[in-house]
Amino acid sequence: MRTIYRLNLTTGEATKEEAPPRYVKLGGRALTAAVLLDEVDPAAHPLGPKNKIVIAPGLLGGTTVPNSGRLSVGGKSPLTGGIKESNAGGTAADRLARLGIKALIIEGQAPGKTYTARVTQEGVEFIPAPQLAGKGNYETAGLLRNRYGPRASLITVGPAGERGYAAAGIAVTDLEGRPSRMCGRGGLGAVLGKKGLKALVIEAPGAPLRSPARKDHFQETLQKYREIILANPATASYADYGTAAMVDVMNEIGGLPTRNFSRGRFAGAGRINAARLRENILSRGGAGKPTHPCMANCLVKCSNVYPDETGKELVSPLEYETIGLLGANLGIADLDAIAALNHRCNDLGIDTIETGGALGVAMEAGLAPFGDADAAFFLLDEIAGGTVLGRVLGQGAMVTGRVFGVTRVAAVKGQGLPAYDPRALKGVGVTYATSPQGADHTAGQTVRAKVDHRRPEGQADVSWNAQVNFAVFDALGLCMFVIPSLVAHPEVLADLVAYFHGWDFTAEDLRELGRQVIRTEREFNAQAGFTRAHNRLPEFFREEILPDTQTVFDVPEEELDSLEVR
Amino acid sequence: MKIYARFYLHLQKYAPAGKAAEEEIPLEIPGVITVAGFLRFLGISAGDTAVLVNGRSVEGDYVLAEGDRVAFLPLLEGG
Repeated sequence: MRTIYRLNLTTGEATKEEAPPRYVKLGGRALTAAVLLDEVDPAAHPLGPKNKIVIAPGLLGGTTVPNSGRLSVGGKSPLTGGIKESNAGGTAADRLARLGIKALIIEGQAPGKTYTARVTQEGVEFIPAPQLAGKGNYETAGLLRNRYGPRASLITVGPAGERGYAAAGIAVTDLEGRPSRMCGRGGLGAVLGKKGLKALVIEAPGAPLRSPARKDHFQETLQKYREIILANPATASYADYGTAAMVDVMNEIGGLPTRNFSRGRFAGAGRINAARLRENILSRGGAGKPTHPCMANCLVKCSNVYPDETGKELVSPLEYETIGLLGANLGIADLDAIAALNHRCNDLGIDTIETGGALGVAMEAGLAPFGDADAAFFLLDEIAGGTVLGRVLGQGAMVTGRVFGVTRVAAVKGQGLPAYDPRALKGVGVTYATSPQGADHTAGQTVRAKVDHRRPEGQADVSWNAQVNFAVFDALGLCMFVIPSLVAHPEVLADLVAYFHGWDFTAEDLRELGRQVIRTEREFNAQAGFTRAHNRLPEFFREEILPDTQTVFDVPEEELDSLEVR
Repeated sequence: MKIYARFYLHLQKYAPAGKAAEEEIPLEIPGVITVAGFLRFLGISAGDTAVLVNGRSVEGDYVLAEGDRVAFLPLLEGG
């Protein structure tokens, strides 16, 4: 798998090249970071022609390894101004890898134009698609499926990306063709949208899975890998309850963001938790599914299909971050309303985390009352309509806070916080502060760590460990929900890589790969002008006691800075 | 000694019979017991369970005290 395609929107040409040797042992987030540092001027405007979007499957993409279908999308973020990688499941990574494609590098810009790019065994071609301009993700996906068939994998941007909203994400189609697996974070949808590339269509009929270099050893290790995942009780819990199980966990911990991060427990949590979610899905029947895979060959199946009262599909999936940010954080205790808001965000192609953060700030500013789902829909209408208010909200929580003079804005490096209050879960607070990715739970989650989450001691170490581990899984293209199973077995992962590729590759090499990802990302950010001052949480987390835990974020600044030299 | 327990999601099966989901259940504990001992008493596997006492994650050697609110939850991550 050595092919890189360069898709230039300025010239309308797509060219094929072989990956240089230094990229061979990189995949996923490791590769997107390396290409961005090599090729993108860190001072480039994120929405201008000099920025690039790099799309890469992981090192184990397109193989028989379960849960290896994560797709990394990288670029300079319009939200943070720094390097960004956002990944999603779905079908695209598997298809690209089967086609032997290591990366797609999308560059240049076609102002005012709308194109799709068709990726097949024969190569890549641009196709003018003015008829798709301004269309929502679901309609876009439907039209493309009609034209290219139900098995085509799609990567699309919605109107939020076309308008250049910094909260815009990139959608990847799932196994049934829904454009609902979101590379949500960091505004990369705006980068792609402003380039004029509305969609990528990936067709790989008959393309075989990639073959391992050392088949016997690989099969043996693969068996271990499967057994480890299936033996972990967390795997079954994800299938039963999905990520929504975290509503109860975070509410008990006292770190469930509620009413714009003013509280950590939500009185309505029992109406939006996993038990209610599962009960609604099972009792309503119809299209509902309590468990559902987002990619082929998934052992976890944390996804779901959430139906309305008549059994008709409302959205798939309905997940914890969305429930946290569009639910508790807005004071909305109604799963049906949250699901409908989620669907609307998916269609617009806008990140539910950033949108929930922005709407929470808007509600605090008095634009709408907390708990009012109709008002939340009204605000999404503004975003969809491109009104001045909608454009402000579409820039995310930070810009919304500036425009309306709100001081309680939960964002780091300009990116809104996911659904873990850092005063209650301090290890994640360290990740939010120090990750080159901005506030991002997928850059180093610590909720499972054996620490007292409310104490500052040891959190820097816990966070660093998680940041490196998550970077490893992102580079391999593995889902983060196999981390709880595999984190104690790095040698199994290293062996998988070694036997598949025929490399000498140890657990230490794996860890070094993770460290290298973070160092590369830091270097890009340093060149973009980031300093220690950017590795801090907003002031209110240190000053304002979270009533439900009676804590502030008090990990010493020296400890945050100690991560710089690791 | 009285403590208050909540059993979430698949851990509900360890709650006393007849108790509704997520209900806070007062339990009378005879004598001194650690969290690890309490898990053993209930038959819950420690490896896959998050135990929060008054909202804080605790080690197995934590000794339960009068009035503690103990929550049993699956050990997961969000997404």
